[in-house]
Amino acid sequence: MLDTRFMIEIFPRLWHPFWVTIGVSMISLLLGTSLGASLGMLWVMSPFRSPIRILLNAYVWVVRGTPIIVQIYIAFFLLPKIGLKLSVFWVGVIALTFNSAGYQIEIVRAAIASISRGQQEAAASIGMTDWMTMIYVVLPQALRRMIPPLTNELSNLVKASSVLSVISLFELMKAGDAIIAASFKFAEVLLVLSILYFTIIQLLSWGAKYLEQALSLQQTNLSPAGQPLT
Amino acid sequence: MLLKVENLYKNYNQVPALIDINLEVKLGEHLVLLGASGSGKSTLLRCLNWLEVPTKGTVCLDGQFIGGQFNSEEQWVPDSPPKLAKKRREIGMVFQGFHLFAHLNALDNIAIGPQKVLKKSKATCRELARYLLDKVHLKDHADKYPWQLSGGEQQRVAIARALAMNPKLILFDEPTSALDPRLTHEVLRVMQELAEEGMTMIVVTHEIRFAQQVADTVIFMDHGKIVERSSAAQFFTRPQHQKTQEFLSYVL
Repeated sequence: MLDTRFMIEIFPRLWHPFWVTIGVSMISLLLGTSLGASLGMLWVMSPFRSPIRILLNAYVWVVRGTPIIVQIYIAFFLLPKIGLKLSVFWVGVIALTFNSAGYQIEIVRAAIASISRGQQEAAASIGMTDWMTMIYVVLPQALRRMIPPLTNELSNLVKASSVLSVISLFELMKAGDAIIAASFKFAEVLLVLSILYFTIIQLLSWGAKYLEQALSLQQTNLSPAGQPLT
Repeated sequence: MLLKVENLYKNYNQVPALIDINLEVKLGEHLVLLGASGSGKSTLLRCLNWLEVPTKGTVCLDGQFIGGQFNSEEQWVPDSPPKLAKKRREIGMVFQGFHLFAHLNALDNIAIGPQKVLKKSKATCRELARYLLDKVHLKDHADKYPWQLSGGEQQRVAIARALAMNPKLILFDEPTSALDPRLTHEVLRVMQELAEEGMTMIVVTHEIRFAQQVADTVIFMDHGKIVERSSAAQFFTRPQHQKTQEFLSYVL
């Protein structure tokens, strides 16, 4: 059966990798959100079939259409070739940011598209430019709608960070692999890893839930039942 | 002449929606556009503030062309977005679907225009918004969000929002079509009060009684063309065109 004492013993050895996983995913999420939101807004503000849009679409296709492990390898082998000699941690951050921003363009685009065209026309009719409409009318409403899909993206990102073990980043998965190689206790180690990933994601989900509620109280654009009304 | 529309055409994929529209509106005039659904009334209204860009023709407000200008060689140069936005401030618009900003309460819906577009101080804008809420008989609803207001209340906030920009002219695009008779009455009352104060208005509506009471001039449209244009008194008593007579026989 499971060696529970062994499971407890390995916890201290996973303490540092645990924080590496949190660090690499959180930094990637923050960078990915900034980049994804900026590019998503650029997508929305650029005209139909403009070069910017075509370029951004291509970016999203590449991110969605290729396995993350390939994206990580490409970052690992390509960045040094173009003169960027970074530690594996930062290579990992760049790969995950690149991946996450691609998905977040779509999240931002969808949230913005969900705000009624009528409100945007109303804003235009009181003399707002497109950018003012975006900042004062669309984004405050879209932001709140972005949180649930962003939470999804965050949990994907935390789990995707485990693939960074292939470029020898000593995060949770890599640390677990090392323990398995030395002890052959697969079940115990994988169970402990799962508990740790689960904990990270659950904590972040609660944080997101809290943020969502705080935002909806602050700007009551939803009925109490939670349905959007306009 | 406050507003002058000349040779205005609008096509949607080669299908004409507006054909050779010419009209003039004087300062303080109340113009009502009547016609069947699909006759081009709303399209015309939306062309006046360039929410729809006309295929051809010009709209001139108080000596200034909307959406562009002619250069020294008489060539049309479209406005940059900020320039167009600046011209749009002069033209208020009230929509059939109200379109209040869902994340702002009634007061902020009204105040946001002067505050963000005209860059007036927050205190001034809130004071102005309170004054305008009172004007549309919603003094006690300042803190309510759009979803807490009835349709009639939302539309009156929307009217106040348009007024807050101190426009030279307000366009009403079927402002009561989404409302029941009682709420319609509330909104029409506010519009009538505005008319009595001398606000220049162009109103697309199916409310014939309102047209009879408030309009100075009535334009009847059919299939994208202006069929008849006459004073309200003449329009309702001695309609000239056969299409107009037919239309009035349904509604009177």
